[in-house]
Amino acid sequence: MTALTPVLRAFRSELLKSRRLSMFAGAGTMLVASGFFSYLTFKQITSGATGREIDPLTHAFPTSLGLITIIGQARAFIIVVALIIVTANVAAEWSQSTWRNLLVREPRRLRLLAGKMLALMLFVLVSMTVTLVGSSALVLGIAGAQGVETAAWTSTAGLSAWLAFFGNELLSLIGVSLLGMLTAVLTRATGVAVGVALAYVLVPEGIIAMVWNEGSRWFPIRTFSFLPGSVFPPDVGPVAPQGYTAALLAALLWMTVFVAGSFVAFRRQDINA
Amino acid sequence: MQYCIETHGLSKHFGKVTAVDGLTIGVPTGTIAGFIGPNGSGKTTTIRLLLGLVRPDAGSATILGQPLTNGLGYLPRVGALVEAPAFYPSLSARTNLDVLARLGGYPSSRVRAVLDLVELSDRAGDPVGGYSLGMKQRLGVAMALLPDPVLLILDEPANGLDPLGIIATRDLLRRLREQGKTIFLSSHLLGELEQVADWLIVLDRGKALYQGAARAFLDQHPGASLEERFLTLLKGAQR
Repeated sequence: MTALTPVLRAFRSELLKSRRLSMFAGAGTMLVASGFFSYLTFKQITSGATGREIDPLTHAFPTSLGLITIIGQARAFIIVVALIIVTANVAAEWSQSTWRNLLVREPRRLRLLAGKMLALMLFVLVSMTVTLVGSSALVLGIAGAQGVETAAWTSTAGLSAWLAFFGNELLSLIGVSLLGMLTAVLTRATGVAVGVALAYVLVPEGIIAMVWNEGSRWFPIRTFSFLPGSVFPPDVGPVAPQGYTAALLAALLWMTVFVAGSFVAFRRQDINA
Repeated sequence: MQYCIETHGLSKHFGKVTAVDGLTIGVPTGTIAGFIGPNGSGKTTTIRLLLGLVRPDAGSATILGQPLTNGLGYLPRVGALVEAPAFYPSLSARTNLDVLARLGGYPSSRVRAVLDLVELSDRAGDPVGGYSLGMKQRLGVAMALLPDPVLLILDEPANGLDPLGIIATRDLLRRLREQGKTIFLSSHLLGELEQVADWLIVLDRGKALYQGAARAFLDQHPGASLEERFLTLLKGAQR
């Protein structure tokens, strides 16, 4: 037995829980809603609509960034669904009192939590991949059916942009998943954890940004959203004002803080549920 | 006498509430030890302490020869059912057991064996959310038996069982004792405990009022039932 054996066992054990209907419902929502957003965006652009929001998308449409600009409109939704899946799953171990079963079988708490998180992140990663590939196929299919030129989207530059978007969205997804883990460990109840995590993602950083834009660019959700935003044209964005490398380092630092915070709290917690 | 569980001055506070108060007890190896006390006397907290789920504020304990701080040294040989059994309700009984089997590194043959033992094989593929209270309780016992433990810690295993289920549990406990296992059994069913327990620990307000052979406890007042002896002891302590 190596040091990684307990992590691997926890990972394999957690994978079994992915069979739950709620997990597939989350992944299905991600796929269907993202496909719908992509379809709406495509229709709006090709219908010749104009406006402050749509014009940058229309400009990007015929370029190699056209496809990712369309499917990227649902990226925040993908992140939010991933956050709910991870947060609810970790917090449910308290709400359902199942930590006590797991911790008797694997008392090394940090390895147990690490294995669990790896499995959950694999699930949301696969869900995101299926969603992005599915949305891309849907948009390409509709474009093909309508005779819209898509050669730039499938060119080498277009594929490189797609992969860059995918990689940065993946980093963003890992970041919010770790935020979800920390929220769950600190709140220890499914409803509260999901509520707090969602409220944080949707509200406070935006409010702080209005009064302190300089500082808020370093906050976790903003730095995570800068990463995929950097792949889009500047007028679509959001582009990191501090530069991509600085935003990436800040995002990695936040991820480290979330992991450390979760591990320190979970290691010392009494399991009373 | 060789002890499977020994605690020395074990204490646990939750804020201003003292749940376990300098508890010093011993559970002899190979016995069924009844662990009784009124609600709030600290039984479940003691069990959680022994399983490493909560940390003691003071004192120490040795389980299967290993200190409480070395959970990895004894927990793989311990099976436990703490309070109401906890499950993933949308998963089947088999998958719930598989989750723990994968985590503990047990073969899937153990899952089949414990399902057979608690007579749940026929319904093993059904979601646990649709189970009756008695079936959930039997699944909880199956989870506890999964590692083929040397020490079994059971908190109200007969809760929600019908008379046939209670009799089956009693027989199962006796069979397990015959196999040399030690069973630390917390229960409010004093009539049942009287029939199976070799050793008794009576807890009140976090302290042990009595610990010793069950026979000796009853023989102090010949003809009295465990229930009568328990109530007398409790009233004496609360005076």
